[in-house]
Amino acid sequence: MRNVFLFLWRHNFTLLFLLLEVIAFVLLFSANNYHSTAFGVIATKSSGNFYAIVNNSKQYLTLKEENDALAEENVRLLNNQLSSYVTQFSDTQNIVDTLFLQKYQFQSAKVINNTINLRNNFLILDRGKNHGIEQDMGVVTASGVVGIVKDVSDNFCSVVSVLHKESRISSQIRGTGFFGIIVWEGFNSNYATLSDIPALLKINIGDTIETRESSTIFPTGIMIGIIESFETSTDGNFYTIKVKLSTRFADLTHVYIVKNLLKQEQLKLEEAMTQPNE
Amino acid sequence: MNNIIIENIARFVFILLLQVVVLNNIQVSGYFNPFLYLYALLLLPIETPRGLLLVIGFFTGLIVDIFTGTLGMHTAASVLLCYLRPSLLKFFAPRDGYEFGTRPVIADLGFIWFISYAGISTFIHHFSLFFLEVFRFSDFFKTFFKVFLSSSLTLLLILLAQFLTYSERKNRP
Repeated sequence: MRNVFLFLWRHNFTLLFLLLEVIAFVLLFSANNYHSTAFGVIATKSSGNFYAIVNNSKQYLTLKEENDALAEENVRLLNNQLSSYVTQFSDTQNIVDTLFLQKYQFQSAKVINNTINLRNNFLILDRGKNHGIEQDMGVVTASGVVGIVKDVSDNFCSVVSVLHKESRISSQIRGTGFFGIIVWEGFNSNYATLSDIPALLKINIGDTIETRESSTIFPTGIMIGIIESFETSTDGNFYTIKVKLSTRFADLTHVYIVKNLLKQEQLKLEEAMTQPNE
Repeated sequence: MNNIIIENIARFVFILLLQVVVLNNIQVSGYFNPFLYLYALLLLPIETPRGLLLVIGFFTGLIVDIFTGTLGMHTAASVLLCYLRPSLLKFFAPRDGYEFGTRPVIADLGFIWFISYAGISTFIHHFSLFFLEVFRFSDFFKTFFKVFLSSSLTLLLILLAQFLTYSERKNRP
């Protein structure tokens, strides 16, 4: 212990220097949007390249499960063909139709890195700027919602998983218009919490929680999970619902990135609405 | 002693005002940005405690940052300069060291001494500053050119300030 203090004392000048530089860099990254984005892109790029190599070899181990999941999904798609005019699970093909305007475009992507046991979990996908990926696009898989795209480099993108402190996904209870926000409390990758559902609504264990269109990120009706248990909050006005997530984050390999083709139009309208009238 | 402190504080206030109000508005073709405020850091007494030096550098950079809207950049560059300053002074020290009370100015230590000390300090500061600003090495020579031009301009202003303020006291010990 004495040696530690001696060491600190002898190098106090350098340590103070490092401390002040760290403060300066924290300021730099937090206050200047460009720098934090540039750093994010560099980090995404380098980790992306590394994980692409690791994943290439790991992929063979899950081929069987992957095939099963794809077959299952194909069946589901064939069954839903009529209703999939608006939402097509395909690698970017546009359908020209005069009755139905395509609003969402799905693009497949491979997960090359995925964490589930941190407090803030990220995924890295092998799609980037070159494939038309932009910030704030939704990411889903056959069984449910995965997350939202954050940083994009030329060939990779990072995704803020549902299992992230900052993740806020607008959701509703299927069959009702009541909506709330899904947050992840940490610890268990199978469960998340839905709050803000008014207690006057009657809900049952097993009800489906799905995405809502209002966020411009996900189409309505992508499954998030089912109600595992619920309780009313202390003031008795709202439910706090424990949701069992339908996505199995532990073995994600293929996902779909959702592009909202009408997003700009909606955002422009909403922006115009919040501007004060002149 | 008190005189020295007051003199330094007054110099800081004046130079920071000059930097924020006048010099920040000078930008010739994007390549010349003079940052004279480091002159105030250069002229701190040689005996300044090293820890205090870092703290002064930090807050000087922070003030310039706040007024320039580039939070963190000037702070990092100034702290780096203040960290290296004692080593620079040691490197350029005369054979038998500095006499107590010697000021790091032309009048006390000569033109050659001052221009090497100020030149290297300015270069270190501008180099770290501009590379922090662009935050990549891909246009290295373009940025380096900018560092070179701006350093020259800053150094020119520093020399000008030296001749304006210290020339008449040349004969003082």
